[in-house]
Amino acid sequence: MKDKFADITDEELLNKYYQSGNNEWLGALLERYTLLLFGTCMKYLKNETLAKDAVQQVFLKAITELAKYKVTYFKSWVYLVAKNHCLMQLRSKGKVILKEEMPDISSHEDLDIAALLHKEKDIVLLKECLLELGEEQQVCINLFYLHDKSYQQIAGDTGYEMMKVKSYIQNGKRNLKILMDKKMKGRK
Amino acid sequence: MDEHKHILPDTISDELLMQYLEGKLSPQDARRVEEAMASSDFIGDAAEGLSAMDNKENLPHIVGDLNHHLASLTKQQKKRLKKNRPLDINWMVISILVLTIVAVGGYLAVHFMLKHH
Repeated sequence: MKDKFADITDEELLNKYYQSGNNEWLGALLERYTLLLFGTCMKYLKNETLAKDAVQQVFLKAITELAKYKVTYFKSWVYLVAKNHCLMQLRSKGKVILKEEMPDISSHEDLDIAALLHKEKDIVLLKECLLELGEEQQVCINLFYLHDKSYQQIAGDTGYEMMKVKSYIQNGKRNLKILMDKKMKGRK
Repeated sequence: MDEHKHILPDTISDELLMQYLEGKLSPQDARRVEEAMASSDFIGDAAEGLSAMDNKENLPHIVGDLNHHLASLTKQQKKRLKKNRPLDINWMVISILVLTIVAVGGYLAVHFMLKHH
């Protein structure tokens, strides 16, 4: 799993590919995300063979699509390609897709709660929004971001399952972003 | 775990993620992986999918197979490019020859006709 281009950023690898048209640069870039892509496909498809097939399809799509247009945020882009592919597979099999599983185009602009906590004027707003979340999400976000606790420690303190803790934090963070966006727009 | 000290919030190595999934990290390092999971949906989803696997010890083989497939995909295109290049050059030479023959033929025909008039 050693990356021989470890010193080169994703952006640089992508530029090298765009300049030379040599797919080997793209191969090196995609290889960085094989494990994450497989894990993402496993989350949605819940089957090793299907997940492997899905990752191969994502590779093929990346090679075909990136030759046609320029992508800036490769990591977010390839994640959305994988997630969309899996959701389409599920939809074609008649499975119901939850709203929170729908791709979020702005996901590369993740809410950096840790950074917000260092900006005084945002703290008040953040705390206001935090109080509007459901109790479980509030507790988990508080313990994770304000008390630096790990999922396991939060699970131990609250009695929630580890996976529940993870989902309360992820969904809570998403809801916080929505609430903060709304409040910020309201103030303008 | 000094090598893990400078992980960016939304970037972690495969090795670190694997160690996390196997429960081999200290609480501090586990917290760092979880911070990456919380700040990146990609890492969060992947960790969720991988943690649900029964045979996590197969993961290096699966990743190896997928990377092997990826290498064959990128090499296929390289071969195709190499194959296409001589063909393109051949067509270019043939086109130039045909155009030259037509131009010279046209000139001779006009010249011949004018001479006879």
